[in-house]
Amino acid sequence: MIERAVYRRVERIENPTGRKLAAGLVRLVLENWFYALFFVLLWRFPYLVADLTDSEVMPQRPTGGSVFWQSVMAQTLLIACLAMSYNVLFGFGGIISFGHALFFGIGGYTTFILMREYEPGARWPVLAGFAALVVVIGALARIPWRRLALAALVGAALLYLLLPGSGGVSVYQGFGVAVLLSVALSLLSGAVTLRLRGVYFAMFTLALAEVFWVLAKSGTLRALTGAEDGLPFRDLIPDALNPTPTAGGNRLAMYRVTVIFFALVFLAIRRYINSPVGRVIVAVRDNEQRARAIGYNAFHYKLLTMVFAGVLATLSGLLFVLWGSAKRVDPTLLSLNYTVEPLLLTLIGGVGTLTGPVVAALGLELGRTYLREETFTFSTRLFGLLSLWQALWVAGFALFFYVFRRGLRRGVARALGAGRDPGSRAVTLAAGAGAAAALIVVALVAQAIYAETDLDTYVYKVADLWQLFQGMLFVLVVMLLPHGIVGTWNRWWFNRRLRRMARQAAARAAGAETAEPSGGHEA
Amino acid sequence: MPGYFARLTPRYRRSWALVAAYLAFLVLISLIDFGGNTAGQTLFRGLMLSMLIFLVASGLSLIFGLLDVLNFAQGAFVLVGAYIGYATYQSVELSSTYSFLAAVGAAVVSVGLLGAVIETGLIRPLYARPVFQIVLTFGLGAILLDLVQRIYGPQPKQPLAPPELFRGTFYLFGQSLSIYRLFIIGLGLVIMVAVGLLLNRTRLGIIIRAGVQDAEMVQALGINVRRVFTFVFVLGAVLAGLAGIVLVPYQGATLDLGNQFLILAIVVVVIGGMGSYEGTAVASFIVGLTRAVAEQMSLKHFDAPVLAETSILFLMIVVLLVQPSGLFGREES
Repeated sequence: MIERAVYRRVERIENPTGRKLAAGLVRLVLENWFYALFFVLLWRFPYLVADLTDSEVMPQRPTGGSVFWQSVMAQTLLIACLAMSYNVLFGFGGIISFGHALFFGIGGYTTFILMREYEPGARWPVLAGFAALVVVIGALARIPWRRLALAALVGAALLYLLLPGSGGVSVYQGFGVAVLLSVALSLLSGAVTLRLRGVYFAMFTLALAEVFWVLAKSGTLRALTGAEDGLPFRDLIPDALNPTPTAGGNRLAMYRVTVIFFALVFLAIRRYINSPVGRVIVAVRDNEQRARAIGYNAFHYKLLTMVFAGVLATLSGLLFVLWGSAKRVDPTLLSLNYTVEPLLLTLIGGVGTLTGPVVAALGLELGRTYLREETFTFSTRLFGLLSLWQALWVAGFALFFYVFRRGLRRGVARALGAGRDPGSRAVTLAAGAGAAAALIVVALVAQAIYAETDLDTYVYKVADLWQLFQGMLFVLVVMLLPHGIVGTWNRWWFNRRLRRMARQAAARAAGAETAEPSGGHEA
Repeated sequence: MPGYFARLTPRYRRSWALVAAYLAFLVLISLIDFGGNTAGQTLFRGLMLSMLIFLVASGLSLIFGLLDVLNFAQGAFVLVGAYIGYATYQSVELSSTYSFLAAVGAAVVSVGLLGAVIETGLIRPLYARPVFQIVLTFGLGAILLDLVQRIYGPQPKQPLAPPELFRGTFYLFGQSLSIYRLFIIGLGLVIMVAVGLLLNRTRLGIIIRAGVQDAEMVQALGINVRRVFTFVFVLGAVLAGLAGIVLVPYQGATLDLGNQFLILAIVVVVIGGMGSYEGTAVASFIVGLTRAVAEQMSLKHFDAPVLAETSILFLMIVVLLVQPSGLFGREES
C-alpha cells in the first residue's frame, strides 16, 4: 500500500496531465478497478438478487427475496463499517478498546432523545454543559489553554447552530449533535487514559461503555430511554430515512445511501491511513518511543485516531438503527456484543489491513443470515455421517494435539524409551497418531452410547450455535491465523513477489557473468 | 503490623489514610441515612459481597501482576465453578455437609485443571503477542459461557439449601440471618490471610513477588518462571471457582454471574492497583461496601437499583482520573 502511494505520487509529478480532473478520475478507476467493480456489484446487488429469485426490486412485492436481501446487505455493510472503524483503532493505531459499542449505540439514543425531549429553553444550558465538558477534558489532557478555548468555542458554536432557538430538533440536527457528542466522548476516554498502558485504556473504555449500557436498560430512566423495550422512533423520522417498504418508505434509496456511505467510509479510512498523519499513527503503533524521539506528539495523534474511529462508528450506528425492523433504539446496541463483533471481524479479516474487516464481515454476516434457518441433525448433509457434535469433538482433539504436540511427542518418546534420532521420531509420531485415532474412536463410541436414546432429537439450529462458533473462531484465529485472511494473503503475495525478484536478480547476475568475458570491455 | 506501617512510603501512607477516611464516610452516611439496624444489615451484606469479590479479584490481580495477562476469562471461571459445584452438590447423595465438600472439591479441581490447560496450551505460546492474549481470554470467556448454557440450560438455578453445618440462624441488627453468611465472610478472611502468608512468608511467595517486579530477571537467576506462571494462573482460577461454588447456596447460579463478577473484579484491580495484593484486598472492601450502600440508598430514595450498578463504575472512573496506577500500584508513566 505504501509503495503504491509513493509510486502514484511520483508518477503524478512526472506526468502533469494527470492533474486534469477527468483524466485523474479515469485513472483512479483504472488503478482501483477491483474496488470499482465491487462497488458496481453492490450497487446492482438488488437487481441481481431480483433476477435470481424472480422478485421485484421495489416495492410492489415487499416480501420478495430482493427486498429481504437489500436489508441484509445494508446491515452487513454497516457492520463492516463498524469493523473498519475498529480496525483504525486496533489495527492501525494499536489501541485496544473494549467500548466501541458505546459509539455505535450512542448516536441513535442522542438523536431520538433530543427529538422527543428538546425544548428551546434548554439551548443555553446544553451549550454551557458542553463547553464545561470540553474544558474538563482539555484540563485532563493538559491541552494548552488557547487551543482549549478555541475548541470550546468551535464546539459551542456548532452546537448553537444545531440546536434551534424555537421548535423541535429535526433528525439531521439530531445527527449533528450525536456526532459532536461522540467526538466529546472519544476525547474524554482518550484524554483520561491514552497516556497510560493499553490495559488501562481497555478497562476504562469497558467501564464507560458499561455505564451507558446499564443506564440505557435501567428501569429508572424508562421515560427517557424506554429501558429494555427501547426507544421507539417510527413517528420521528421522515419517509426519506425509512427503509421499510410498507410504510411509504423508500428501501432502494436507503440501500443506495448505505452503499455510498460504505464507499465513503472505506475511502476516508484509506485516505486517512495513507496521509502523513496516518503514517505517523502507524509509526506510533510500531514504536511509540521512537516516534516521540523524532518529535511527534504521540498522544495527540492517538487522540485524533480515536475521534476519527468514534465518529465513523457513530455514523454507522445511526444508519444501522434506521435499518432495524422494529424501529426502536434498543440497549443491545450499547452492549458488549457490538464490541466483540468488530473485534472478531478485524481479527479474522486481518489486523491492520484495509479490506480485511470487509471480507470478514461479508463472509460471516452473510453466511450467518444464509444459514440462519438451517439445522444440523445427526445425519446432517454437510458432514455426511458425522454429526456436528462429533465434528466438534474431532476438531477439539485435533486442536489439542496441535497445541500440545511437542509435550505429547516427548511423553510418548519417554514412554517408549526412544531417543531423539529421526527413526524413533517417526515411531513416536505414529504412536501419537494412533493414540489420537484411539481417542477419537472412544469419543465416537461414547457419543453413540450417549445418544442411543433418540438420534433425531439432536437437532441444532445454526443460529443457536453461533455464539459457540464465534468463541471458537476467536481462539482458532488467534492461535493459528494471527494475520487474518487478508493479512496472510498479503504476506504470501509479498513473499512470492520477493522470491520472483530475487530469482530475476539472480538470473541477471548470472547473465552478466556469462556476458562479461565477451562484451564486458567493449563499452 | 506496626513495622509494616513504619516502612511505608508517604504515598502508601496517604492511600491508607484515604481508604480509612472513605470507609468511615460510608459507615457514617449509612448510619445517618438508614438508621442503626438497616445500616448494620447493609454493611454486613457489603462485607459478604466484598469477600466474594476479593476471591475473584485477587486471582485477576495476581495473574496480571505476574503474567501481564489481563484475564477476561476470570468471570467464566466463577461461572464454571458455580455450575459444576451446583451439579455435584445436587447429585451427590451424602449428608449435605459432605456433598457440599464434594461440590467444592469438584468445582476447584475442574476449574484448576481448566486453568492449567488454558495457561500451558493457549496463553503460553502468546507471551510474544500480548494484545492477542487479551483477545484470547475474551474469546475463551465467550466459549465457556456458551458451553455452560448449552449443558445446564439458560434458566437460572435456584439457591440450594446450605450444608447442615451452616444451616442455623443467628440474630443480628434486628434480623435473623443464616450462619452460612458468616461462613462466607470467614472463608474470605481465611483465604485473604492464607494467600497473604503464601506471598510474604514462603519461598514461592518471594519468587512470585520478584516475578511481579521483573520476571525476566527471575528467569535469569535460574528459576523456572514458566512453572510459577502456571501455578499462579491455576491459583487465580481456583479462587474464582471457589467464589462460584460458595455462591450457590446463597443466591443460586445464573448465567450473568460471570460478567457481573468480572466487572466488579476489574474495578477492584483498578482501584487497588494492578499486581498489588494489599491493594486488591483493601479495594474489595471499598467496592463491596460501596455497592451495598449505594444499592440500599437508591432503593430508599429512587425505588430502583440504577445507582448501585453505576456507582462503582463511577468510582473506578474517578480513581483512573485522579491516580491511574491505583491506590497501591506502582507508579508508571
